[in-house]
Parts: sequence; structure tokens; C-alpha cells
Amino acid sequence: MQFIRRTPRSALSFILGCVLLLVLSLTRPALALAPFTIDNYVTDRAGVLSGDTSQSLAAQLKKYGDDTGNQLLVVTLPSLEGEDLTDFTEALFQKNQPGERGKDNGLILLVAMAERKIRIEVGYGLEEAIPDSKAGAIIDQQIAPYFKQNDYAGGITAGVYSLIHAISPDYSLANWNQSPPPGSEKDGSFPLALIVALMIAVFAGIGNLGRGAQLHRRRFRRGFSEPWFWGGGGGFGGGNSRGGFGGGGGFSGGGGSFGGGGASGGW
Amino acid sequence: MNKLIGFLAVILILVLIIAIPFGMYVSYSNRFVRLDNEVEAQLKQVDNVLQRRHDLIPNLVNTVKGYAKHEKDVFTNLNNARNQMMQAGTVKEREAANGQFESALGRLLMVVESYPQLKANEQFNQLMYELTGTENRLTVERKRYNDFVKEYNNAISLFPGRLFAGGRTKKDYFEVPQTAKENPTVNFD
Repeated sequence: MQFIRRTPRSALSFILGCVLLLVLSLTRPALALAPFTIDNYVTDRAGVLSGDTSQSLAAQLKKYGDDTGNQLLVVTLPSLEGEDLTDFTEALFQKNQPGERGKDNGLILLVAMAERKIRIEVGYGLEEAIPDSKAGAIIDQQIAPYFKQNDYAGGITAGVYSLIHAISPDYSLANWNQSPPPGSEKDGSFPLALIVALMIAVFAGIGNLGRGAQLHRRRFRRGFSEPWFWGGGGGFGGGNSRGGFGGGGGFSGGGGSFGGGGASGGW
Repeated sequence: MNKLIGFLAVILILVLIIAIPFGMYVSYSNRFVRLDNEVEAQLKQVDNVLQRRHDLIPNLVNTVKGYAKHEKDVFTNLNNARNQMMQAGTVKEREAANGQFESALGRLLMVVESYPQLKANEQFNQLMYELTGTENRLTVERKRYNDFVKEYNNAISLFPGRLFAGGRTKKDYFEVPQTAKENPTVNFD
């Protein structure tokens, strides 16, 4: 009787052992860095961007994507874990397929912190706007100078803006940062232009003074219909949580493909 | 009455014997043709990249020449390899010409290493980005080509596709020459 009762128990533990082994063997490949599914325009795995920067950048990229169809993704990684920079970026592109099918207007800007490496992978459709030399110049002249001073948010933002500017020169970015990257010489004509602009604004303001509040209200409304959340300011950050889809930068790939165009660099 | 049923049954069996293999034949040959077209289209894509590199070389040679006039052998080698690349017809010929080309290019890049002023030249840096990008494009398109070739070769050599393959033969892979893997890469630091 005792013997009979023991048998099922040992059988049960044997089965449990098998299941445990199976689970262990299934979870092992997850140790290597595998191309992951991207669900946000900014994926800051390395945690080098503040929540606000990450959110406002994602919102801008989403807006730009909705307006033009061009899907630009930013990914930061703490480390490539031994993977090749180009191979991994391409695997990531293959998996998430930024850009529209047929137009292939997607792009990935990838930063690997431990390796101090940057890659811009350009979809087929954007190769004309961003030839490899342009991608290389953006890495060397826009991103790397900031990164050298440990300003990762500054470098990534400058890189993204330069990319957008290269693809759509006429696209107006609300808080387009005109300041040159650190290390490059300052533009001497800027204060003069500012003074002239101020004078024009003052004179125009004096001229309009008599027309009253009616015009003012209309102008205000028009201003509001422009991309108001780009300011990154008060109104936007309010109710949203910081993780996941919080920033409104929700991304889903459109089926774009690539042919190995782009450039790699470091800092 | 029984005779009629027997007659119809015979007809039905005959139709099945003829129709099933015929249907399989049609679907398999269509699949082969589709894959064949895909392999061909992908080879064109590889050729586009090769053409792109072909167009890039004169600019590169001219820029380097400005700094390293006396390295004539290197330029001649590269030019010869460049011309051979364009004359290559079959995939195997392309593969061989590409190997030669990449080793000639490797020698040029080695020469460049001893001219530090060249690395400070902006036009040279731009060309190097274009060249690196083109080499990477070649890797990507060649891999896709090889994937299509593998699919095609599998389709015509696995059972039951093999029965319908007719005179179709396996296609050649575009392999990476051993010398190309040992090429020095230009360091931008």
C-alpha cells in the first residue's frame, strides 16, 4: 500500500523536473541581445534622456511621422552585448520596419552607450535625402560634439532635427534649436538679425495697436491650431505617465525596407 | 444502369489521375518561375550597388591622387579591377571580379593610412562614408540574393518539387571572397 502510494508522487516530481528543465532551456536564448519590438518613437533603454525630453522628442517624431509619413526612430542601448553595430541595427529595422510599404521612408538612429557607437540606418526611400556622407556628417558634426560633453539629450535632439531638416527642409519645427553644436564657431550675424526682427516686431505692433482686440483674438486662435504640444511645456506633460505609450509617441511599423544605407560613427 | 455508373466511375478516376498531377505541375512551375524572377530581380539590386561603387571609384582615386601621386600601381590595379567587375557576366565571374576589386581597394585604403593629411580632407571623408555605405549595401543585397537562391534551390531539389523541376538547375550563390574579409577598414578616430 505504501509502495503504491509513493509511485505517483515520484512520477509527479519526475514530470515537474522535466517541465522545469524545459522552461530553463527555453529561457536561455533570451540572454543574448535580440532585436526587440519597438512601440515608441523614442526607445531609451540606456536611460540617457530625461522623461520630459524623451516624451517631447517622441511626440515631435510622431507628429512628423503623421504629417509626412516618414518614420524616424530613436533607440538607445546600454550595450550591444557583443553584437555588431550594423548587423543589430539592421535586424532591428527588419523586425520593426519603420516607413511606409513601397515608400520605404523609415530611419533608425541607434546609440550604444558602452561601445560609444552611433549608427543611422536609412530606409531605401530616404537614401536620396540622406546619402551616407550626410548621415556621417550628422553623426560627426551634430551628435558627437554633444556626446563628447556627456550631453546625450542635446546630441540626440540635434541629430533628429538635422535629419528632419535634411529630409524636409520646409518642415517647420516649433522648437527647432538653432544654436550650433559645441565646438563649432558662433554665427556672428545672429544678434543683428535678432535686433532687426525685434525692431520689425515693435513697429508692426505699434501699427496694429489701434485695431483692437478682434485681430488679437483671431491671431491667438490660429496660433493654437499649430502644433501646440511641441513646446514640451506645461500643458502636455500633465496627466501622462512616463513609461510606455505615455508620451503619445506610440509607433507601429508600416512595412518599410532598407538596403544597408546610412553611416556609423562614434564619440 | 449499372454500366452507366461504371462508365462514369472510370471517367472520374481518369480525370483524377490526369488532373491532380497536372494541377501540381502548374502550381510548381509557377512557383519556380516566381522564385526565378525574384532571384533575377535581386541580382539586379546587387548590380545597382556594384554600379554605384563603380561610379564612386574615380572620385576616390582623384582625391587620393592629390596626396599620393607616386602610388601609381595601386591606382592602375584598382582601375583594372573596376573594369573587370563591369565585364563580369555570370554570378561566379562577378564573385571573382569582386574579390579582385576588394583586394585592390584594400590596398588603396592601406596606402591612405600613411597620408594623415588625407584623413583631414573633407571630400575624402565624405567619399569614405559613401564607400563604407556602399560596401554595407552590397553585404545586405548579396545576403538577400543568397536567401532567394537558397529558396529557389530548395524548391527545385526537394521532393515533390524535384519531380516537376524539369531542366532547371541550381543557381550559384554570390559568396564573399576570403580576401575581402581581411580588408583593412579605415578608422575615423
